[in-house]
Amino acid sequence: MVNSFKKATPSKMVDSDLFFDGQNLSNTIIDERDFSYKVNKVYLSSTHPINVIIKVANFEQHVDYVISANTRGKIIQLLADDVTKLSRVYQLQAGAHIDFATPDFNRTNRDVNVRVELLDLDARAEWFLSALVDKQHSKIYDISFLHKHGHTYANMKNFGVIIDNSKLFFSGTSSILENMSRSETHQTAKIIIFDQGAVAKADPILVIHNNDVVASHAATVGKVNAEHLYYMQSRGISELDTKKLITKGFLEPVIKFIDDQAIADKLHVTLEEAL
Amino acid sequence: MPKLEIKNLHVKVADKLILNGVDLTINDGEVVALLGPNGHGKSTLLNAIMGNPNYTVTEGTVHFDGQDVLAMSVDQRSRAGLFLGMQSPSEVPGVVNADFIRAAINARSEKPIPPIKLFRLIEKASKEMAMPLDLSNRNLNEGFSGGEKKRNEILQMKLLQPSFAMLDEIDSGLDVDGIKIIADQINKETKSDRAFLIISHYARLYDLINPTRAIVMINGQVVVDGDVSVIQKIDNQGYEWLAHEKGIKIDKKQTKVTSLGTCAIKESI
Repeated sequence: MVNSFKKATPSKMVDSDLFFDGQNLSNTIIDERDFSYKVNKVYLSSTHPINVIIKVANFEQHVDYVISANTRGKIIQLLADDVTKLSRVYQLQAGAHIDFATPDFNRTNRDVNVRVELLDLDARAEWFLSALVDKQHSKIYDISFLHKHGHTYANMKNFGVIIDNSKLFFSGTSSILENMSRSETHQTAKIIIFDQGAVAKADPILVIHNNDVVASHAATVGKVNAEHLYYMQSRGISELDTKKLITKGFLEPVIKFIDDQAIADKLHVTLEEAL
Repeated sequence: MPKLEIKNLHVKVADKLILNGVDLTINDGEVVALLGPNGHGKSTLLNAIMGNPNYTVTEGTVHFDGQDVLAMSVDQRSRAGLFLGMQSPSEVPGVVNADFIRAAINARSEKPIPPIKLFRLIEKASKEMAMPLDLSNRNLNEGFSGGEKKRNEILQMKLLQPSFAMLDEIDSGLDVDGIKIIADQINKETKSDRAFLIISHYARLYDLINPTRAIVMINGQVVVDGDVSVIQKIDNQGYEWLAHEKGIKIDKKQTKVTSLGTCAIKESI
């Protein structure tokens, strides 16, 4: 755990392209709110492991991130309350290996659209999203993966908990195009429904045009497991506290991706408060 | 006042009547062995006392220390002093064992337990149970071996100090050493103001804990209540002689339908 991440400074800007590279990308924060309105493509490139927290800005302009060849590490998307509509593309070049993590416990509405494109040989993406929705809020996550080359890998895990009268939709398509042999793509979407008034839908879609691939998808929407509830209550823990413990255990693992102590602490607090 | 008093208890599981009028009184200081063929209501009795929502009480009463148990929620029953060491403890993903134990301890006290005190308690109990301490930092029962799960049940019993502990086949899945450790801990927890109700299919555990009384359930009723000598006889000869002696017919073993799993349909997560 690092105490606090430093803000990354771009190495150059050419037309609408912004470049971050080198050591600059270990334990750093890229704050999109500092971007000029012209920026629509951001390049991340490093031979050292990257560990980047992107503070996502609430602007209409479309921003693509290009992860350069052989760049490896973590990218955390941090969404503030005011980010209600978001559209991002992450393009991974050859040999780029990225773990994406998105914690979202904010009590707000979201409409998020992310596409991860695996452009070249051995591009690999792990994706981990944890979302909590409460009150009358609605969150829509459309997370897609596009395998544009053979020998590419994507593993999506979306977890959600909905309480009160909220709504949560997980959708998205993982596509492996023709001639993209030996690619592998996985989708997991799980939503726990806390209250009767809450509405959840999880329908990840696989589109596969090649028969030499590995692919799986699983979606589960349901209540807290009654046996787990009974077991924990039988030790004297109230139903509400039991549900809180289970929910926390379900959503909290995403925070482990975050090495900035202050940001991780704040996420723990936000989650506790929401529960 | 008896510790536990059950009168005319009828219990249904999925519309099937399993307990068919159980009468049973247990007093402080007693260690009661509960025997009976499979599917004749032993686990059902324990689960009904604890309040498992899958078991519906259709008739009868259960009182614990004079309180109406059936009117209480599962967690209230536990806080009142009831404990059930389960036959197959649930694996709860994401919930850390130590957090679970802390929540259970805190549910019983006004002030939350300080972290260092909790750590020492778990450390001491783990040592006594010959369990590696790192199990407390793992997810609740997830990836635990059968024996570790059972030891974890007894560890919880030690930490929560119930005045009436029910143990459902706590020795199944344990090796000889494991059974000895569990028996030692049960003996240690036996006190004059407590009582135990223990299901086991093997005389070995009963030999080690010296029950004060034995009861046998057949066809959802208590048919024997008394001397512990019956344990050895059942261990040697089974249940048929007993049915013959009592003039009852043992209902054919109530087979459970076993599902190997379902495809893409889950009611809960």
